[in-house]
Amino acid sequence: MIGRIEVAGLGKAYKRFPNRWARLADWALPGGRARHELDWVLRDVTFSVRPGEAVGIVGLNGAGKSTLLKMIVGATRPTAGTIAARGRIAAVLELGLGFHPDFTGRQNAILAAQLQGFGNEAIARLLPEIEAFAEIGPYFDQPLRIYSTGMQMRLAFAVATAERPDILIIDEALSVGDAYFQHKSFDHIRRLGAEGATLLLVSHDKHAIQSVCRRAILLNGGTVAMEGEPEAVFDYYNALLAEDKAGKIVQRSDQGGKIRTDSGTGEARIESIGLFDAAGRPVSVVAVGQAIEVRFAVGVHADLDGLVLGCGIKDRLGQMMFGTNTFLTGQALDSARLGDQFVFRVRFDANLGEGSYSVHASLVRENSHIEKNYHWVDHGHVFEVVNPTKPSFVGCNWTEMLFDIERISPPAPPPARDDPLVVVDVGCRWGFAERFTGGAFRVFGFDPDHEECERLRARHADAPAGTIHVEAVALARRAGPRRLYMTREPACGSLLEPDPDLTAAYPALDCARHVASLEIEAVTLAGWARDNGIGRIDHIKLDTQGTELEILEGAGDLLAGLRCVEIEVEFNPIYRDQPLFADIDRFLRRRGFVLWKLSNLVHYSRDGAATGALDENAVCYDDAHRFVHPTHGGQLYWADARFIKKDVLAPRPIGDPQRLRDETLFSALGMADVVAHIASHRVSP
Amino acid sequence: MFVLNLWRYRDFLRGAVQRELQARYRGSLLGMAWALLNPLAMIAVYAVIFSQVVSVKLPRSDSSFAYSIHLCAGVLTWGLFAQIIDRSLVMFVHNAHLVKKINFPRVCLPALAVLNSIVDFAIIFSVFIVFLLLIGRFPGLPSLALAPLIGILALFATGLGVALGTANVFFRDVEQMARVILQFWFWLTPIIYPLSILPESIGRVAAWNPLTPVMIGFQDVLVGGQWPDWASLAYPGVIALACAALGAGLFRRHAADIADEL
Repeated sequence: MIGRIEVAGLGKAYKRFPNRWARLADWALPGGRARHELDWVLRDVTFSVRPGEAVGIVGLNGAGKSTLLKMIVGATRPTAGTIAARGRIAAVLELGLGFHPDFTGRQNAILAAQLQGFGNEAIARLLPEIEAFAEIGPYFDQPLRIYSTGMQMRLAFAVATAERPDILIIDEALSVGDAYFQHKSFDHIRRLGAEGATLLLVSHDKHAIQSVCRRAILLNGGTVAMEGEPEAVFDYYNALLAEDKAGKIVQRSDQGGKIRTDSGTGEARIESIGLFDAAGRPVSVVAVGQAIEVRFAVGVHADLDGLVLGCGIKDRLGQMMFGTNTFLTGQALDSARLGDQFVFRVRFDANLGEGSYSVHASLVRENSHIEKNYHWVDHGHVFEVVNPTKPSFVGCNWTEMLFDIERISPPAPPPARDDPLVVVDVGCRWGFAERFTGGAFRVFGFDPDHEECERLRARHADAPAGTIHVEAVALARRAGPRRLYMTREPACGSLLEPDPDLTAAYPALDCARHVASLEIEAVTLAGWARDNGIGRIDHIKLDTQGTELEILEGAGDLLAGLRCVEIEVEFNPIYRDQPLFADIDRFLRRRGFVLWKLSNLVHYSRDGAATGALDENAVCYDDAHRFVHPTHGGQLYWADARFIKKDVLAPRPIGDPQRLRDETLFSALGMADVVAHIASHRVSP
Repeated sequence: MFVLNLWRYRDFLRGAVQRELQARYRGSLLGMAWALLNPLAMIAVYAVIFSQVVSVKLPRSDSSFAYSIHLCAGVLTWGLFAQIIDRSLVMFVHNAHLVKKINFPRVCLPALAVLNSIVDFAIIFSVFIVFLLLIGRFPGLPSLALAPLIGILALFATGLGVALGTANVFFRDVEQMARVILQFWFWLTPIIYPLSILPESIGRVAAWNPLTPVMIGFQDVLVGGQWPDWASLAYPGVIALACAALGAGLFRRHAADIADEL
């Protein structure tokens, strides 16, 4: 099977000659008699790696790790035993891939790829990936001698893994790189593993091996000393490192099946480990963030010239979450006497993610366990962390994250669609359509004044064809002849007669003074839509000086598809017989609309004289925003109202066409609160 | 097996030859032009000195350029021979960083030693041929004999070089010794002088030198414009084949141990 590695009875020995002449004789003279002795650096190593498996190789310096890898790679030949490794092997052994200092990174990448047996065609294909992965920027075309070792590492790793190998072998090389590239490399290694590559990783770094490998092999003195879960192997390895004098290593399985490692000289011992809450009660289940105390009872069995307690918390994978010792906190004891008893209390907040953790403890003479190791306990006390109080989170560490979301770029315009939203703007004189861009909308503006329509058409001449239309049409309740009352200010013209008393008496309403009349032919919105093949209107804006309700009444069935109405409403009549807000509100409510916002409340006073502040008015947006402003004189005449179809607020599945239309429409209208309301519905289709 | 590996690694070999040339002239303003200027200068010196300044007449020729051509014929072809050996001697030692870490066909290294030497030789010999054409002394049809002559020379040097280069991994004395021997060998071969000027006693010794018939062959073609004495080339041909067999044998036997010794 491709990717399988079978190592059986493997041994490697170097020839040792009694003198130089013996070597010459050995070399030149034929015949059987051996004139050398063999120095075995690796002996009787047997293991196998399944395709797609990741195995870590751990060992002290000189344990034979590099020799083993070189033999698997094929750079050197075994003296005994066999290796079967199927598939393409890529290796990053020590530093570099035989790089040449005078050549540029690019040339070296080419050379290294050629040495791996790639042809020029394949290299031309891989080179951009190598350059991108190495992330050494312009250095890629600079000679290698000006590279830092980290940069060489980046290049070597990028070259070795550019083409997915069947077997990837990494020898310690990754310890050279910077933290960022190490992360990136390990991500890449994991990805290669997920894609089925077999991984063999040599490292002293427990985290590196644990994060990638499910199994580790410990080489010691040229033989396989242990094989198993990385955590257990590393515990044993650390104990090996610490094994000085007569220190003996004992591993025993605890209840959970995890191997516990207990080692040390025993001159001081951790007699017990306990976990307590803030009130001193023993606990084994801890809440995220809860204050806890770990208590160690220590007995001293010899006179010591230094005693340091180390305490750490490991997760269930054996990754150290946090650890420190009394040397680092400046509390090392200079001496301890035979028979002394100590209690160490370590207090901290369990700012840990949910899961199972264990307490790791060590008693040493000074800072590190290499110095002198009295007692070393892994998985001394196992406890659970649960999360009853904090918001759900992932990870192994609790920390409070505050999110602040600011949208920097304007929202992307909605894509053009086959079925555009139809927007109607009646009384569009003040300009319209700017809000409805991006191809998702068809906009129809209405104004009875032909000249005004020409002006508006010219203004929107740049719009994509078919998206903006200006209709020189007067809309009314019924089709037929009507009189258009033209006013001093053309924008105030109406099919209703302005109240002359009002326009005379109110300076602010002088604009609506009747100056001329024109007989015109009005149509209904429903009739116009039928004639123009419009089957549905999504949004309508009405500002027609008193005929807004009329136009809605003439809309017929179109009201059913309407989602939003922006409408000018009057509270006191300016035109004769005009309907007021209450009429419009009643009309729209009956047809499934609700009032959403009322703004621009406009007041007029008879003499037009501004009075001083009279009172205060407050506008509140929930409890969060409350705006207070002074009121002044005058009577409320009109305002801008927005009604939305009640149905807009009903939950709809994500991806529902109407939901998408609503989101597009209300985004364009700037009604982010409605959009958020729609988006808050998490209904699966 | 060797040939198959070389074919698989042809792009590497081509790239390595290019890189060697680039590396040599890296940082120089004229760059690759030096590859031509150097041999040009050498040939020009030989041509001017020995035709105009120091007049040396060869027994067989009356041309003023005869000795210059004689010198070039010998020095250039000896250059090929010496370079192959020189490069092969150190091919493993100098590439230890590759050999120890990377599993690639080891036969690429001797192949590169030979290829690089041949490229150098091709450049310099082309300049020489152009020179011959310019002075009207190009040998014509007998120049076809250059191919087998160069073939024998290169095969001889390759076999010897690979044998010595392999041995040099295990005994570094080989490199020093070989360089000394090459010095003597140069002067025991009729390169500077024509064989005829040697006293008969030394001449007999020189006749055992397998390079002697090859050199005389080159001189016959290039100086005399005549075909070489084919019969005399049998002896160096056999020796070359024997050396090639020795080199291949040693290489095959020890290639796997090389990485351990470096």
